[in-house]
Amino acid sequence: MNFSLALRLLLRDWRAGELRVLFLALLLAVASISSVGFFTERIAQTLLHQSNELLGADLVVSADHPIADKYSSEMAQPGLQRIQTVEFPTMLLSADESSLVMLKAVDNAYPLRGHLTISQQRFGNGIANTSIPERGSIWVAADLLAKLNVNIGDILRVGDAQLTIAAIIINDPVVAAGSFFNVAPGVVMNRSDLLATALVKESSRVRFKLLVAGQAETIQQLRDSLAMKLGFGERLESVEDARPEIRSALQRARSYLGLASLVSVLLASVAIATSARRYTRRQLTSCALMRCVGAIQKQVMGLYLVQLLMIALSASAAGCLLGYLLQYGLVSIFSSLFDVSLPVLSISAALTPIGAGMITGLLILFAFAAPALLQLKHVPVLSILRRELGQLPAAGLSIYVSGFVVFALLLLWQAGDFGLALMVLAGVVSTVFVLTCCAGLLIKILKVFLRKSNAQHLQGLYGLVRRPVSSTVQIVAFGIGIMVLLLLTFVRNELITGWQDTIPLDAPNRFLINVQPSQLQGMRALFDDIGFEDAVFYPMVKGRLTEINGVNVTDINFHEQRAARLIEREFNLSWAEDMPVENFSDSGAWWGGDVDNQSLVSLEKGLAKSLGLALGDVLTFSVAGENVKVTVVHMREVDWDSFNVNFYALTPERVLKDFPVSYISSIFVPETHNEVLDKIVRAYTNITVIDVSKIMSRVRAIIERVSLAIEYVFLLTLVAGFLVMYAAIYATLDERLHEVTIMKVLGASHKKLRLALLLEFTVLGSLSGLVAAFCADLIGYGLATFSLHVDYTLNPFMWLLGMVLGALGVSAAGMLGTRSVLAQSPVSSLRAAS
Amino acid sequence: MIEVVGLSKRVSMADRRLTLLHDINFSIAIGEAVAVVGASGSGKSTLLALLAGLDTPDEGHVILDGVDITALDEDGRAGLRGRMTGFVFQSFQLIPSLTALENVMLPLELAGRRDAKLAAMKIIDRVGLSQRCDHYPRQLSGGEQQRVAIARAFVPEPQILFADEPTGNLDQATGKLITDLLFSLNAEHSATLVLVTHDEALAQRCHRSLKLDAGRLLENT
Repeated sequence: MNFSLALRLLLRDWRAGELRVLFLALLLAVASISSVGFFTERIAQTLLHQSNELLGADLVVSADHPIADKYSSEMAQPGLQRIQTVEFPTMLLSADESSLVMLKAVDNAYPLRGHLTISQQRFGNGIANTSIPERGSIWVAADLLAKLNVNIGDILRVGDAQLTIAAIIINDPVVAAGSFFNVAPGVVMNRSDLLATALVKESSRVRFKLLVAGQAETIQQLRDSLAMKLGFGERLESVEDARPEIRSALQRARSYLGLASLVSVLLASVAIATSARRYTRRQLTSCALMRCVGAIQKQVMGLYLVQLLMIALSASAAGCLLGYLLQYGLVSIFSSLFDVSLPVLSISAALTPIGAGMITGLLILFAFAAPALLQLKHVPVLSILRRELGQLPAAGLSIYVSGFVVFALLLLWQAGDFGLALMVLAGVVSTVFVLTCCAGLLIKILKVFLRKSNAQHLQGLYGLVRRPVSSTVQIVAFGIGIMVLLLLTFVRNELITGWQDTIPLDAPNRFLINVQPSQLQGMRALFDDIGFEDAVFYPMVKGRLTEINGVNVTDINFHEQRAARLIEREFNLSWAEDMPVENFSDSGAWWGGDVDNQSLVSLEKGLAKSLGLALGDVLTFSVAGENVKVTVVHMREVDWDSFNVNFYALTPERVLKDFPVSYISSIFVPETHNEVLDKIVRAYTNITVIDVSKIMSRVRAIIERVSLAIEYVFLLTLVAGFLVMYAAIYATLDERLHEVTIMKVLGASHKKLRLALLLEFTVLGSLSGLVAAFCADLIGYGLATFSLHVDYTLNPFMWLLGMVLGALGVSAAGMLGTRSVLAQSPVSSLRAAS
Repeated sequence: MIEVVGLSKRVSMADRRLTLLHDINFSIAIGEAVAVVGASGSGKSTLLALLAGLDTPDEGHVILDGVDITALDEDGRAGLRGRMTGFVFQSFQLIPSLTALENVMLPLELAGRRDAKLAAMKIIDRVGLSQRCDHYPRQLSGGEQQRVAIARAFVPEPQILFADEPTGNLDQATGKLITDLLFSLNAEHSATLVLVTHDEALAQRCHRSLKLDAGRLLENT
């Protein structure tokens, strides 16, 4: 194979502008895929390299109960270093303020890997510290100083203990699991002071951790031996588990951003297929001529395939480069969500996204361009003498089959889950179907209108109805880009606002947890005093589901991921005589007054569905070391949006009343009356107040960032839509040139032709915007009605904006694509045509 | 050099088979210039396509330099074309994305010749277009395009040159210049020339003419 000849021919075609759209479309597709790849790889690499530090140890055993004694024999190995930490949320009090914090009580040598960085000054530079707070002292996060109106040396109350602020934490690499949603700043204290706080009670939500460090081999042996012995509520955290919240966010980001990037890939593929067909058509003469002057068929096809390979490699390489630059945008969008600094991607780590980008490029180009090019094989050499024999056959089934297979494979790869891939494929196919139907219908309406009105001055519009297939493809391609942007801006806001409107203004905004039975009477009196006489205290008993109908839950294979998570953690069980107000009976019967001797349970419907439970099932909960068997007699629907206290599982009082219990309540505190919270936590220092509005704003910030990232990825979709338009116009360029030349010869002015084209593209763009807005509203209405159960109002401004956006975009692409047609003199057009 | 024996070509129409060429027999000696003349639809271009191995006959044989090309497959015929023949077409058939020089280089490049550029420049100079090497076909007049096509046909130094109405798309004056060029290059290269034309004057310049009528060879003069 003559590679240098293939390269020379390729460069000549490139210079003549034959391959630009093809190249750009491929570059865009690869950039889109690889930018997400580079971004996720960069975070993964950071986690991998910093995971020991992020974990603070080589291995961590984490449990919801004390575990140090249980594994003392396994830990008693030479060379193993181990310490304990205890973590939980609690309230911290200064002389005049209070704040919810995430408290970590640690042993000497914490952390075993990495360093805590502390400072003696509020805005000072931190120093990597090797000790822990002295007994009687506490280190606090910088933002707490202002919040509590304190400084270094001041005293803080932690439960019953009083601790002096000794340093400011600049950076704690070991951030508690779940901190992604944790809005509480961190504090570190000496574990020896923990008892004095009196905060750790049997019913408290506390995380006990054993941190271990040692030789890799010993750690591996320990990991293997512990893995066999772990009990309920205990788990191993290894370097792979460091920052699980970032890992799961990363996995989702990889999957969702990857899928979003595939929309650009799909559009770019349409552009590739369209421009490949034009390129092939223009190669008919070359192909016949080469064979006429002695090249054998294999040689000619080889030349074309090598050229295709060269395009694939060069465009994919350029795409990877652009993708690398684009990932900086994604990093900056997400950097505010993670407190991990991201080093530059190493060359070895970059190889994965580069490889993935290159393979994607090759696959796309060969799936969408090769079938057209391979049709050159069927061009008879005689067509050099008899032009009518050299027509390109209509696009065969092969391009649709190869295109669909490759797209489905990419989808599966990006989704990483067959079900999700199938769902997205169905979504994409049905959206494209609806868009195509709408576009086809509009073109038909336009055709009828033009026929009836006989509007000669609307000359440009005749072009749209003369090429109905091409017009429909263009409307759909650009429509997808606009639709996605409308969905992520207008519709998203509409849905969030709709959901927020369903929350009453006086919905509870603070949860009070850890209220002990002995404090109940006093709390009620205090509540009456400060005007919360309606507040309800709900009992809460921690219990772990161990058996379903006598079968151990560890032996049951749950299909849903949520079920596995539910089994892993403890349930908050509660009792009630009457069904809570915001709950609605779904099936079964709530117990009446006389339920003596009956162990019953009412379950939230969604939980029962996840765990595959039905009425009549017998559940065993392990509560404070005892087994409690209950029969499912009732299912409830719960309105979680009410922000009132609700429980997955409720029993009659008799079932749980003898177990350790704490109480929980939810109250609405207006922003102007925050002092009442201070009053509560000063009176009862063990009570933790959780600010719902902060969690809400955190959730909102996450939604905004994720939307922004998806929007960012979808900007490429718009560019891809632009390219499809350009490719489609470019494909009809010869035809247009012929039409325009004839019209010029017949006396049409340059201005008139320009206006006709502008009208054609403006209408085409407006129609794209119209179908895009229609589909965006359709999807928004569907989500609002069937998924979120909120009201949805149509937004006329969105329709207008969609149409304007479409008109501007398509006109720009159209006029750019046809500028050469208008610029050519009739004589050169005629010469080129001959 | 060229021997044609019992050559017939038929095509299937919707309801019948049409005979394009009927039992054609003749031979052409090395260095001879022969015109194929006849009315439109008489089968001239069909005969040229069969002689050049661009198409296959239903019956008969075409023997070029002792090789029966009707016995070869398409790749075999392509190889023979590359080694022995050159083509000049009525509609020039230049590749629009290549410059004049690149169009001329193409047959040599396909044959793997390292001196493609040098040889192409030499012959472009010979046809008087050395100043237009970097021009694309669309930037050239009809006569200039045909001169590039002639240069491309002669650059591999073919033993046989097939020309299909080479002046058909040109005005009389330009046609005359092109014809002069064609014949003088043919003489320089001592090639055999087979020329399909309507033009009696052009046919007169050949050593002899083959006249076709409705697919039959009427005269061999």
